[in-house]
Formats: sequence, structure tokens, C-alpha cells
Amino acid sequence: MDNKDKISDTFLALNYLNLSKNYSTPELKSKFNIKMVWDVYLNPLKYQDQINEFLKNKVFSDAYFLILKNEGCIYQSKLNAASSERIFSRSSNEFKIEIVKSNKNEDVYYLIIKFINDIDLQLSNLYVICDNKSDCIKLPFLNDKQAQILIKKSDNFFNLITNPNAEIFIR
Amino acid sequence: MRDKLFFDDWKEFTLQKPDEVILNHFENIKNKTTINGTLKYPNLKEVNKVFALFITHNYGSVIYELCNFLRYLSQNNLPFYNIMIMDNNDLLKKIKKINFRNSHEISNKFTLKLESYNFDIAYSRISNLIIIIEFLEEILGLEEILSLDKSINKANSQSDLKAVSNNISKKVYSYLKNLLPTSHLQSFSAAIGNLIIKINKDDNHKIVSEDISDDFIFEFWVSSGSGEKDLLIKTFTLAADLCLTYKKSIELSEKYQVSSKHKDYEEYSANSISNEVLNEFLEQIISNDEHVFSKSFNKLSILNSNKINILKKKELGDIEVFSKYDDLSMKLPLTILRICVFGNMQNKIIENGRRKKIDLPDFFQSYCDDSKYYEQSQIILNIINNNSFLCEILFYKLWSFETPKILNMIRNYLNKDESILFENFLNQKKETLDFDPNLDDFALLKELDKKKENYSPDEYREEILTNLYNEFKIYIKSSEFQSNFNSFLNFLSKTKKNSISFRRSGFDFNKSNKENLETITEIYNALMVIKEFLCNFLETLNQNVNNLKFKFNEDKIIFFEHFKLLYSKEGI
Repeated sequence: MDNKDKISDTFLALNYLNLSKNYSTPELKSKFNIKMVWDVYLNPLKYQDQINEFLKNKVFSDAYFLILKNEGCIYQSKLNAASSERIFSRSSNEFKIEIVKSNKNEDVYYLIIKFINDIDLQLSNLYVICDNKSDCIKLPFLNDKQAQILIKKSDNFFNLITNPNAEIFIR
Repeated sequence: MRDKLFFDDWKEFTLQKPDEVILNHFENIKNKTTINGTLKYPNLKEVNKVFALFITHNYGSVIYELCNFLRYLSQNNLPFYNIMIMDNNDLLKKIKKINFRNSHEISNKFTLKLESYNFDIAYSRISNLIIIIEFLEEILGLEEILSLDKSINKANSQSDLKAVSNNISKKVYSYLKNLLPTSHLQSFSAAIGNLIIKINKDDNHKIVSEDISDDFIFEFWVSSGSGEKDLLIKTFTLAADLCLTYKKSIELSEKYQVSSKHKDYEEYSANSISNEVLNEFLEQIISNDEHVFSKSFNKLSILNSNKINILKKKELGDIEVFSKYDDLSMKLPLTILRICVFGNMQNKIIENGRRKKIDLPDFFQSYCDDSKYYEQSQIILNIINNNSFLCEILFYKLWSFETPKILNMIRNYLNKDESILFENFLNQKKETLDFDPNLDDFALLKELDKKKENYSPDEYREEILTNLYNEFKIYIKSSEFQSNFNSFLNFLSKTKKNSISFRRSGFDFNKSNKENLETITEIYNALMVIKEFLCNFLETLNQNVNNLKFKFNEDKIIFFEHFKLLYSKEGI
């Protein structure tokens, strides 16, 4: 049996190599791979409209956040202790975030982000990941190391950013 | 209207999904691009070898090596994805820098160190390991690679790495073993193997190369439809092709005892075969185009496509079969003849069938007085003679251009006595030399250094050859010896006339420049290789088949019988 298997494997290899010389198919699609994730990381503006869709794919988001962590970003891990189920402010050595309710509209909140130090990295997006769910918002232009973004309570982003278990990546 | 798929024209050999899946994996790797959009692997040799490695289940030790490599990277804070997105040269520089920082030594390898365990990896292995991880990503998916990365980061000992490596190897094994059983190619392989066992009437028969004989191939073709309809092979050419490939597989498996376990993939074996043997095995699998006949044939085909018709298109078509099967042609010359003759006949039947002009009895009748085997052997003989003629013309060109390199070819045109004189001449001259110009480069360089000669080995050899040639010209022309080279001089005179009247499209090597000299020499060598091969083939054929005319008549009966079965209205 073993002898026949060995021969069969070699037979397959010879045939596949031969067939592959003239093989082509218009339906060939590249499988989802690390190079694609890397491309999204390198070109956040190009994929701005699609990033949230991509992040719904767990494998993509795992790979993406791994790259963000390794390639340099502003990162805050989940909070060790939280006084309540929702938190509306968090701070690290690098930034402070406050989530302030609008006076005019129940559903609207303002996410105010203040960077403490000067930043060398190019920052495009704020990502939040919690319990394998992730989301992302585009950072506006910073004014004196600050920015303010309108978010809605009904948004998925709001649920994630106010969760003490959320990790934050800014890049 | 959907685009034509690759296998649409393969009415007979319909590859099904598992085979297409494998080929798609392979294509994805071959078509990988760099960040800049250029092909990542323009030279596919290494990719082909890694592909063959996976299909033949010989990946255990290289996956283990890859795990060690990934651990080294993680120890030095270089995330794994770098090896898949970085340019190879940039990656190599980075690793060399890391290694130098760690060891303060310049060497050709770097070392993973874990507890009391060390593992060396040569820099030259990096490109291969990158292809391995790309295949793993392609076969198992990115999720598995991320999981591999996590496991690698936690590995702190050799046994940890072995466990990770075995886990990955098992997954690859599982994937391929689940995918392939329903593949068409696998079915054909099983059909051939099973027929061999059946013929030998012994379930424990160990399959050997001799099991694939001319008779076996015919039997396989005829019996192919008797089982599953899917495995019906209509054309003899295809049946022969599969069997000849199977024969090559047997020979490779016999020669290289490479494969590890098949039934249950258990663990990485530290005693698995050496990398050198494995590499040789893989080289043999991918080396179809490396055979000397194939190389020569391809050279002439390329010239043909550039409108330099050294051999005519029909002649190339007549010998293409040898390019495909190279040395196997010598082992089963009758099958090769059958492919040429009956394969051709069958194509005509199929073509006539398409035009609805088939009349089998008439068709068979048209061959009643023919002796196609004899005719085919004459076609080959004509090509041999034509090659000889062309080589003479080319030799004459080189002689008239006064190229020293003709000394390497002149023996073919000297008679027995002239050859003795020539060898004597060479031996005399050799004695006057300080050292043998045929020494290898290294030894020659040492000798040249000793003599404080400022030549490279190649320059020295060229100089010696030029001097030898000039002296030989004088030698051959000197009145004292002229009559002894009469035969050669007559040959030159005759060939000069032939050369003047010779006309062949694209054959315009009238100037004695470097490019022409190289091209003429290349063509000469290619023609000689083809001629020698074809001569050997005819000799082998005559040894295997006593009487070509008789054998053709015999084969006609059995082949036409099966053609009737396949193509008449009452047939399949």
C-alpha cells in the first residue's frame, strides 16, 4: 500500500506540474491573505469606506490589529477596573478620550480626543475592538492635538467605545 | 456567454473540482506580486519544487525548519508577516543585521537558540521558507497562519516547536488527503496500479518499472472503459501518456526512498532523509525541460518561432514526442512508435468524425498495404541524415570563420587514420604545456597563480585553444602531411559546395561575429544531441522489434479492433 501511495503522489506531482504549464482560468481569485490586510493598513484612505465591512471578518480584524500593534499605533488596552458597565472617559499616557452627551439631542454624543504628546505617526482612524467585534471611525484633522467627532448612541461604535473591555487603536 | 474555461476543450480528460482546486492553489502562488505589482516569483523553479514537495507529502522537515525560522524572527521582534510582504533582499539584509548584532560575526547562517537547543538556518534557505509559508497560507488559510504565529511565540523548547510543526503538517496532510481521493488524476493512478496488481495476480505485488510494458499500456487503454465510464480513455496517446508518467513515478520512487508515513501522519521524524536527497528527488520531478534532448529541441523550436528554420516545422513535429518522454523513449520504443503512428491515425478518425466523414472500413482499408512503423523509422532516419548534413554546413561555416572551437568538433569529420594523426598532434602539444588546460577552474587558477600568469581559467583555455588551432592549421596544410588529410580536405571541399547552394529561411550566418559564432555553435550542438538521441532510439527500436513491417500488421489488427469498438455506431 505504501509503495503504491508513494508512486501515486509522485504521479500526481508530475501531472499537475505538466498541466499547470498551460493552465489558466478567468475565475481564479486570490484567497484572502496577509498581503491584502497589509494593503489596507498601508492605504487607510483608499479603504475608508470598506474598513468596517472588513473588520466584521474576524480573521481580517485579528490580522489587522496584529499589524497595527506591531507597526506602531497609539494603543490602549482594556481597562483593568471600571466603576460601571459603561465608561465615558478613558486616558493613557498618550491620549484622553471623553464622551460627552449633546444637550440638544438625546442620541448624539461627542467624542473628544486629546493627544498629550506630539505625534510622529500619521493618524487616520480610531479603531475599537471588544469581544471580537470591531469598528472604526475616521479621525478629523487635529487642531492643537485635539479632535471632536460626532457619534450616535445607536451606533455600534458607541457600544464598543463605552465598553470598559474595549481596546483602542489609533493609526 | 461565459468565458471559455481551461478544460472546455478537454473533452476526454475532464478534470474535476479537486484537480482544479490544486491547480488554482498553485496558480495563486505563481501569480503572487510584490507591493510594486511585479511578479514575486519570475523564476518558477523553486515554486515548482515546493509544490512538488507538498503533493508528494515531503513537507515534514521543511515545516519544522520554518517553525524554527519563525521563532527566530519572533525572538528578534520581527513579526512573521514581514517575510510575506517584504522584498526578499530587504528581508535578507534585515536578518543579517540582526544576526550580526547578536553574534558579532559574519557568517552564512543564523542560529535559533532556545534553552539548550540550537538550530542553524542558512541564509540561502530563506527564499525557500518564504515560499513554504505562502503555500501554507494558500492551503490552510490566513487564520491558521495567525494561529501558528501565536503558538510559535509561546514555544520555548525544541519539543514545543516539534509539536507546533507536527500540528501544521497534520493539517496539510489532512487537507490534501481529503481533497484528492475524488480527483480524476488520482483515479487514473489507482486504475493503473490496480491493473498491475490484477495482471500479477498478487495483492502484495511490489510495483516495479518493468510492470509498465508496451503490452501493459495497450491493455490499460483497451480496458479503461470497462469499469467506470468516467475512466474511459479513448485516445491511445492519453493512455500511453498516463502510463509513461506512472512509469517515471515508479522509477523516481524506487530511486529516492523519500516519502514518510502515509496512513497516519504522526510526528516529525528526526531521521527523515537528508535535504540533499530530497532536493535531488524534487529536481527530478520538475526537470522535464532540463533533459538534454528537451533543451536542444526547445532551442530549435524557439529559433523556428523566430523564423530561423533549422529544422522544418514538420520535422520538429515528428520528434516532439521524444522531448516529452526523453529517456523513457528508450525503454518503451514500441509504445513511442505506436503513439506516433496509431495516435496520428486516431486523430484523423476523430477529425473525420467531426466533419461527419467517417467511414471506418474505408479508413482501415487505406492502410492495408502500408507499413507505417517502417515509414516512421524512415522519417526518423531522414531527420538524422538531415541533421548530419546541417551539422556539416555549420561546421564548414565555423571552419571558414577560423574559430578555434572547431577543434572540439573536428573528430566527427576525420577518418580513422586522420583521427590517429590528430590525437598524436594533440598529445605532442599537450606535452609542451606547463599544465593540463582541462583541470577544473580551481586547480587551474592555482597553477596560473604559481606561474604568476594574469589569466582567468577560461581566458587561459581560450588562449591554449587558439594556439592549438593555429598550429593545427599549419600542420594540416604543410606539404609533408597534406596527403594524410585528404579525406578531410575532400570533405571540406564537398561541404563548401553544399554550403554555397544551401538555402534555409533565416539561415544567414554570413558574418564572423561573436553572436553568429555562438549561435552556430549552439545550433550545431543541439543538432548533434538530437541526432545522437534519435540514433540511439532507432538502435533500441531495432533491438526490441525484430521486424517493423510484421509488427505493424500485428498491431493494426488489435488497434483497429479497438477503434471499431470506440467509433463505429455500434460501439461506445
